[in-house]
Amino acid sequence: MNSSVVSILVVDDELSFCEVLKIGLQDEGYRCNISDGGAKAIKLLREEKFDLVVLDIRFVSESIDGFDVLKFIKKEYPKTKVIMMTAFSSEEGIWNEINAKKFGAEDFIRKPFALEMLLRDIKQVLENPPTIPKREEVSVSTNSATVVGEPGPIALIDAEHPL
Amino acid sequence: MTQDVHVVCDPQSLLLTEGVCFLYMIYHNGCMNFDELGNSHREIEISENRVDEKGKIIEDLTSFSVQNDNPLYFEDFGLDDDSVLIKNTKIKKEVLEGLEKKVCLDVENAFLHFKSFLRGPIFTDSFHQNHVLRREWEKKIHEIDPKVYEYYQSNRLNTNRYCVVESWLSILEKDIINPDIKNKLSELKRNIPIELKGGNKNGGPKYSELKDSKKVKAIKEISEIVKQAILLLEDNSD
Repeated sequence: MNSSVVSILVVDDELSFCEVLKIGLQDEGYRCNISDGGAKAIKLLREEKFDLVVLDIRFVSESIDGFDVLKFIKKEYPKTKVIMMTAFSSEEGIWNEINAKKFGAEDFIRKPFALEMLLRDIKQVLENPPTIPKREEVSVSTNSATVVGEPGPIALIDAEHPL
Repeated sequence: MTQDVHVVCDPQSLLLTEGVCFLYMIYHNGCMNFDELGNSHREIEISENRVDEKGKIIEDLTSFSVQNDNPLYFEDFGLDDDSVLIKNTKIKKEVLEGLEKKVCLDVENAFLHFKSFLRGPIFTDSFHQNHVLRREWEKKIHEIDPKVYEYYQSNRLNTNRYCVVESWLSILEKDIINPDIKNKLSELKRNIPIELKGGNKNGGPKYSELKDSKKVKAIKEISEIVKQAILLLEDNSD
């Protein structure tokens, strides 16, 4: 995919965080817009077409959260890809990750992250979106700590294993 | 009735800060828990010029904390607007040499962000891993006064705050042409404590699981890096 035509929306209630990501993304040739809240993000999504949304989970000043925005995106604009991000601790982070995947996010990234890492993830999601196997095609092997299914077995990380 | 305000600082600097502590004591109609001061050697910078808008916000936040289970433990209230490091907004000519206008604006943005980072306080709280309780508490502050909430959110321990620093350093490292400044920026970026660096997805540096004392130590280290970055970029020839 040609990054010069890719449009990205960054949503986080910390505006300075959005701004630095916007500059980093623009430097890579992406078109980028930012929103410091979920309601504003939904408004922007209705007005503009975005190929990808980098979406925080929590907006302190609003009753909606990132999962609500994610559900809206996947219902109204199913082709728009979503990378969710959060700064929550491991346990809460894992549940957030599970929910993000459940509601259709293509990827999940935990803060703190380096700009380079987000850029890598964005590139990967845009060029090579993960193929999510159907439920019946997946089985979990607790002995070998792997998820077995197409496209192949995936090793569970330590924190996921007990879950 | 007396109430404790959690302020920990270097006992050596107590005399300098006594006047400000007194203001807090009056404001809260309580008294300081000076016993806590004796056991710690942490730096805190409070100048008498703090009786300004920021001072009022700090008072409101500490007052809110006292009235709502007093969970906040202040380590540092952040630099004042009139401190030398914040006041000077001139950037060295050699930093901007050969840069396009848009990139110059980015450098300026980074420079201002570094200053904004150092203006933020450092405080821990008693919620630890109880994020649900912390979020309820934060919502209350936001409802009461968005300006106080803004200061609360500028806590340097807040992941978004220090995460932005690393991103800005990456952008500057890439954009600045002057080789000497570029190299020094790369070195500063390399010195960011490992706990604060963007980690890999399967595990990461687990900043959120660190003990508060380790978080504070790492944040003080990155604050020092930010100070060095400002000094590297700023023109203090006047």
